[in-house]
Amino acid sequence: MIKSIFYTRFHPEKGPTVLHQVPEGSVIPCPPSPTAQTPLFDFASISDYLIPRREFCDRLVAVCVNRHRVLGYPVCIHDDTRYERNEFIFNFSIVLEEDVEYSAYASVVRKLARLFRNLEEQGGFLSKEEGMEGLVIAGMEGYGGRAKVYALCEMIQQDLNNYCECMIPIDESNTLNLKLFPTRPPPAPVHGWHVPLSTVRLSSLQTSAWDLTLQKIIPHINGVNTVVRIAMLADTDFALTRKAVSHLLYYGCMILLDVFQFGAIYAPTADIGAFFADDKMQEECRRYIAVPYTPFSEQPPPLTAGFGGEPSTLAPHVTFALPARSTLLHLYSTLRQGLTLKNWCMEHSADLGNIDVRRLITFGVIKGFLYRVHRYAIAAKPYPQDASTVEEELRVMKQREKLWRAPAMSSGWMTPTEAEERAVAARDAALPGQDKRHASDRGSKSKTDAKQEGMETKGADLPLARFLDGTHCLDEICAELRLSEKEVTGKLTGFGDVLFVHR
Amino acid sequence: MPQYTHSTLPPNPSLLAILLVIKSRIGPRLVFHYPQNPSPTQSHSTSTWHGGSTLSSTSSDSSGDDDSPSSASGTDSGDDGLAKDGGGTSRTRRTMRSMRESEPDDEDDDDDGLGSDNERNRERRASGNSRRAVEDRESGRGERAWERVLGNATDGLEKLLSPPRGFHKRRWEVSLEDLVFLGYPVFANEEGGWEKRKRKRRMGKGSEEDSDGQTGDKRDHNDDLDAKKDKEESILSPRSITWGEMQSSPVQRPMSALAITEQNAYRTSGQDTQGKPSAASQSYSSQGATSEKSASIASGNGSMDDMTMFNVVFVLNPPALEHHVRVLEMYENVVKKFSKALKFEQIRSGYVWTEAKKILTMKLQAKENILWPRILITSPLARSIAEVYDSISVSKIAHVSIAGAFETSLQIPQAVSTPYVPTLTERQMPGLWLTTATMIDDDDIDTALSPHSALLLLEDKEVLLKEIEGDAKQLSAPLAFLIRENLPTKSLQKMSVILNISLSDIQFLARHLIYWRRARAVPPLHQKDTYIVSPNADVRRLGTAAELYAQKFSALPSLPRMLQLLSGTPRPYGAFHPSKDHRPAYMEILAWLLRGGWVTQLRTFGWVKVSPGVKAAVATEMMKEAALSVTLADDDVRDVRKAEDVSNDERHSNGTENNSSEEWPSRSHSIMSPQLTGLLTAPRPDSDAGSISSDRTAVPVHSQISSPLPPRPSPLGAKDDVEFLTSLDDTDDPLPAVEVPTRALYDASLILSPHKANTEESRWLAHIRASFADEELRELWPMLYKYFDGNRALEEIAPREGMKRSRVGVLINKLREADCLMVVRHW
Repeated sequence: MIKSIFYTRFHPEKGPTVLHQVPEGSVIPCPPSPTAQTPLFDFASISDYLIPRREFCDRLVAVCVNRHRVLGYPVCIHDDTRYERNEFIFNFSIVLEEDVEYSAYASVVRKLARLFRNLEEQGGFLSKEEGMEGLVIAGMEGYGGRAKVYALCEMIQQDLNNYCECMIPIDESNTLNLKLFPTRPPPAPVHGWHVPLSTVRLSSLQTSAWDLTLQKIIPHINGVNTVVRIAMLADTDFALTRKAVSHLLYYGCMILLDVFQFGAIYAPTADIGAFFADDKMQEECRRYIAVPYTPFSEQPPPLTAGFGGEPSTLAPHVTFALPARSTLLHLYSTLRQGLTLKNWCMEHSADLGNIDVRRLITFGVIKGFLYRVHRYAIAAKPYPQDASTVEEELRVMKQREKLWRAPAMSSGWMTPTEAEERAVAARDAALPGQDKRHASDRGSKSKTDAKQEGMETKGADLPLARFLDGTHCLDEICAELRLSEKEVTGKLTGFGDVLFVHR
Repeated sequence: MPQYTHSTLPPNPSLLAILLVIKSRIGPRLVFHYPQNPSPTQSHSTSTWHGGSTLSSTSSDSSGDDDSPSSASGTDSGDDGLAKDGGGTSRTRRTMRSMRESEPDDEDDDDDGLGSDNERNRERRASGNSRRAVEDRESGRGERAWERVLGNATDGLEKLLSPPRGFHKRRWEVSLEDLVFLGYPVFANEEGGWEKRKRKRRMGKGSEEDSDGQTGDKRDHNDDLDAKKDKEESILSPRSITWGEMQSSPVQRPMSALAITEQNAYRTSGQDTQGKPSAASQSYSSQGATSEKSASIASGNGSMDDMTMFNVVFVLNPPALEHHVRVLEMYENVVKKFSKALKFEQIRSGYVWTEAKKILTMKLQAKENILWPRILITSPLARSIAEVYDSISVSKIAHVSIAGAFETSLQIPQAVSTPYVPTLTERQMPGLWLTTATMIDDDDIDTALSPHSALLLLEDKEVLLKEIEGDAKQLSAPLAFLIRENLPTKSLQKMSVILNISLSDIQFLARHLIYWRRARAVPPLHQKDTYIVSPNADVRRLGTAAELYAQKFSALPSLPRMLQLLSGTPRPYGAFHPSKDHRPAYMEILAWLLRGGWVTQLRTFGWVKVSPGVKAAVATEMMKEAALSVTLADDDVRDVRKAEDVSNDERHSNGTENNSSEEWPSRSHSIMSPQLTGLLTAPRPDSDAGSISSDRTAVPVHSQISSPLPPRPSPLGAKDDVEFLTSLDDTDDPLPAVEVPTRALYDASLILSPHKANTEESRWLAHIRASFADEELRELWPMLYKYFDGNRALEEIAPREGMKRSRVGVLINKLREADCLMVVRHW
């Protein structure tokens, strides 16, 4: 909320002078009138910051005073011919509450400064105004609408406060376009195994002007598909898909979930107490998780209704009992560390007759009172190499590979490795970065195995070894290797002494 | 004193430099700054909203442009994340970064978020400045290295950094682009002295001084000025200025004439004393001159002391989104305290002025290259400033000695624990202790360290003992004793018995260690408690931690193996001990794991569960009583009923809807006591109708969570103040007009705050108690159920009530078997 906008300039005789203020009386006192307000702060105490020495001009200067923050951008125009003392120094400042996030306003102030600088340089927009007959400046009797700058300030304040943007034509060649862009934190990194879930109805917002990738992936974002799968279903490039999801995440229309698995473990967080105390959330939950029939139901599903369909597709007149709230609380309280969801379902099958287990779990995860207990693989003995030596080995290995390949290539045959490498390269495009390294390792695996050299066999295991430092959850490994969890577990245990840690 | 701060952001002081500015009769002077060459581009400001990968990618972005790569954060080593994607995403990243930091361009920023070359601009500006500095020096204008700080000439800066008097003992914050200058200026009193006096009469000279800094505050100044300034109410608030006064105020007018002469006076005197040509005279002739200078000159004549103000300015460059948090924590914890300490010493012995004179003299005579080290050797004030900078800028505790007279310590408190688990989109500082144990006893937390908590040392005993020996302070002996003897398995209460020290003494020592971040108050470790691998553990440290661990516990299972042990189905820790002889070693391992945030205690939280049977029975009883009361016209019973009605209404207004069980009492009244009918029937039809329609609306996936997720719930237990009763019931079966309540009408529910139970809940509790066959349980029930509020761990019952663990365990089990208790386990 902009509390005030005011225009100050350095007067050769009077020093820093407020020429215009909106609303009247917000910066310097004005003649008593019913609408006049008292100043928000003492102008004289900060005038040095609003009209600073020249070296501090042309940059954003903000000062806090009396629980307000004054954002200004003093501009100094140097012109020997036009101005008394050869300089014209002015500042359009915005007053905000001190604790308001102000970065959006900072860019507005910058833009205002630039615009008025241009206007002043072009035709003396500001300096000429002062020469006008009968100009009434701030603090004088009868101050108000007549001055052009005052009108501008007033429009800016009202439009930005009401609409967060404004478009004001100033003259035939200049228009003032301002918009408040909120500052957002950078989005969390998006990975292939993450499941995006939209928090707004994206399809209703969508226009044909949207990014093509975005348009293609939106139908596949349903809280079940992983990013990799979305890219596959939508037939889009993986990197672009990731980028699109991360854009949606940045604008807060998306949250990220884990892959829902019956083999996974879910446990309550400390927020579960808040859920227990929140009747509304429990009601929301009941409605969200209820389905007419599940595999745990005693009655078979009626043939007419499409079984397995989303509950949302059911006609509203189809009635079915919602699970009782006590059941809900009981179910959530029995989830715990060390118990896979599958086993939990077995234990509680009696209660699950009208509950969609996936929704039950995701509801908890979304609201933050459940968390997924991830599984991490850790080498029992820390791998001797740190990351840099692994890189080094890989480099050496690749060099040898080149040496080996050069004669092979000249033979004109397409080597099996090459074919494999091509496939790998195609996938590399989809999984950039770290995976590239790993993928090429896999490509070289067959030959290195054949070579039977000590270091190279180690190299063959490297793609697995790099997952064993405890920072990679099994979901990630599965997604990277395109293998099921069982296969990965098998591979990892085959690799050597590997420990699994849940956390 | 456990310090639970609301934010669990990793520490990021963003401190670039500390400047000491004073104002004397010759005008403001930048006396000293530390470090000698602060860099405005120093990338302290790695974003801390996300741990790991994003962080590393942004910081690598900036360090690519800067010459000095970020040295501040330990989180740089993140190896996953956006860092590995190709060029495509990196552009996004930069765009977003620039949106986030919204860092200014000089001319060509057009608000479209494409200012991705911010760094370059900043660098250009900075290098431009330094180039200018070099040119200046080469062109023989005699400017020396320390006359340009953070890209600004000191004579400009010192003017900017000396605030008008209105900021006396107030937060003073000025930003230039993304540099924030933060201070707590302290002024001499109006005669130029520093002693606090009880002023009775108004001095002529003083009035001259404040009339300029404070344009229109004359009226206020007629009152007791000092006393007023101590108050929180701002004297910068110009409420007293009236238009008439403004018109007649002399302040606006004399600027031209008076100011110019003063400026010149200042210049000449400045040249005289400083022996340097004034670089500032090129421009800006009179403009900057405010009349404070005149004031200091005028009023300084008769004063004992020349310095009229000092301002220790902290220069920060916080990330845009953390601006408020970082500035506030720096101000409250460091800026204010340090300035107050200096003020104290200035009043006592004129310390700041003496030191400032010393440093200024040295600057006049000095040779460039050795000046800073010499100042640091000679001036204790400079040393204190350096110590504050060196420690605070790396998030350590600064221990400063002021004038050798007293010592003070400054730190920005860090979060010791968090109740939140990190999520995919909301990272937090990894390795932070995940627990709710630090936040349950709201009344306990600030006043005293709970005697039931144990002290967990955060470093090895040997290290701590050595540190203390080196310190050789008055507290050393008892501290060393406590450190040597401390057992994390024993509560402070028990330790005081064992060591034969009074509890308050031991709490004092413990608090000392906790304040210095050498220890942490934890629930005493116990082999019968359950510990799990913390979801917030910092696995990136696993490699180094495993080595340290191996050195310490060589003959025992390795760190990964321990973690594996603790990550299966949760079991009491004792179950992992191979034999009784291993117990001490295993407890030591546990302490080590806990202190590194690797594990956390899985604690049990319970709620009283009221079964339908209990509800039905109580309702029947109440109906009977009501019937009785109607016949007997018993006033007392009616009072009870009224109280119920009130609580009933409360619940309705609290937003609990469509709960027939809640309406039950009112229904019974409407049957039994016709005089209340009009009052009570009103809410019923509404809520019933509403519930049916809303229940039947099946909601599609997308719209279900159509609003952005609410921010993380406020600290747990925030609901405590509201009397909530979760009545769980199936609204689908309509409530028949019953005469006798049966269990089918009710659903089980929880009593959320048993210690604040309303009438109905109290009856339920009483009924449950009566239903116990076990004599002991019946006796202890009122004590036990106080713990069943979901905020206090059941593990606390035994130590707090002085009971045996096993006995509590048996009781809890009985309660669970009787289906009176719902438990959840988390940290």
